[in-house]
Amino acid sequence: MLQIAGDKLRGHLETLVLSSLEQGVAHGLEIVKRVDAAGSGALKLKEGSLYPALYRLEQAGFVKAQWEGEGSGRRGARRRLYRLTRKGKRQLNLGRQEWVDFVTVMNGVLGAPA
Amino acid sequence: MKELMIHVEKAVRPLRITQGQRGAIREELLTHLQGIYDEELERHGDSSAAVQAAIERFGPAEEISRNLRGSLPWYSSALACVPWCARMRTWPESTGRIAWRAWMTGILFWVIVGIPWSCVLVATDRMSGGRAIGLWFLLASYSVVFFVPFVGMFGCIHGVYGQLRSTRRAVLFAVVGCLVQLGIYFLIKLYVKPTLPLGVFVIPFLAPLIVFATARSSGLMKLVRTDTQRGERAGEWEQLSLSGD
Repeated sequence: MLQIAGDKLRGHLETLVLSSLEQGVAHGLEIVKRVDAAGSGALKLKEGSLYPALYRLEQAGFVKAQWEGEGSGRRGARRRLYRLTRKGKRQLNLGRQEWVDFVTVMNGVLGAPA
Repeated sequence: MKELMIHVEKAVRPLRITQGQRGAIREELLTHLQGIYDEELERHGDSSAAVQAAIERFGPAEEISRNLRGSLPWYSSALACVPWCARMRTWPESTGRIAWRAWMTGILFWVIVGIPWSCVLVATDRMSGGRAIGLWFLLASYSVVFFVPFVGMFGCIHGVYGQLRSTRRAVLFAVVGCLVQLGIYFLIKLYVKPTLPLGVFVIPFLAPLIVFATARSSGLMKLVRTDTQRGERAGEWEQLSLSGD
């Protein structure tokens, strides 16, 4: 199967994260699993690279983060939970539109079927 | 799991951020890495293979560090340049160091507020230059006299900075603080300002009671406990040697 990793993912990571958060609140590991499942295992993401992207999204106000509360009933280290904001949803729609435009242009250039 | 901690620390230590942010990033990355490790341990059944696989999946620490540097807000590194913000932990240190930091904050306050205020007083002929400077030094020095006993008292009530809780020591800090302050007010009334109202002499007695009530409030007790634990955890991380895995 085709594997998409490293440079090919760069520039799309933020949109991938926003898209995975559309399914609901998640911590880092869960986000990676969602991205992996949505890409049918073809996306090979270095998991540590997720966090710089998450911090950028948080700064831009596209996601909101919160430490898992003590009442979560979970044992072990705390996790930081991320959720999509309204601004993030708008950014996701924008990202999707940009992707469609990009694919359309590239298909035209490469002569690939739309 | 020391190998995982070292991998995280390699990514986080080069960052110029405050101690609080550093702790939060360490905790988040380590929780993720441990999650991967658990998955890999289930798959491989061997701890060292699971560690290697987890580190491989997580990615090179240097690259993560570089990307993190570019993703943090500009003010993080600006705050990290301010010595007493770089280590935002408040309590797990000595009374002297906390008082020193409090005094430095007082000095900073007087630089920002006190100097322009003194300039206004001098410029409007309401105070002479020498008197304004004298007042400035007096207030800066007084902040030490005021802070040391009460920071010390607070520490003894909670047993922070590695000390055992000690009621006797807390009372000692309170009594010495009261006497020194009373002495200062007495000298001011005697030699500087004879019209100093007698109500001022109540402050040294009220202050320990306020410190005691504040120190015993449940919210603050929880905050100190959390802060102490955070300080201990940060100490563990800082002791990690990154030269070899």
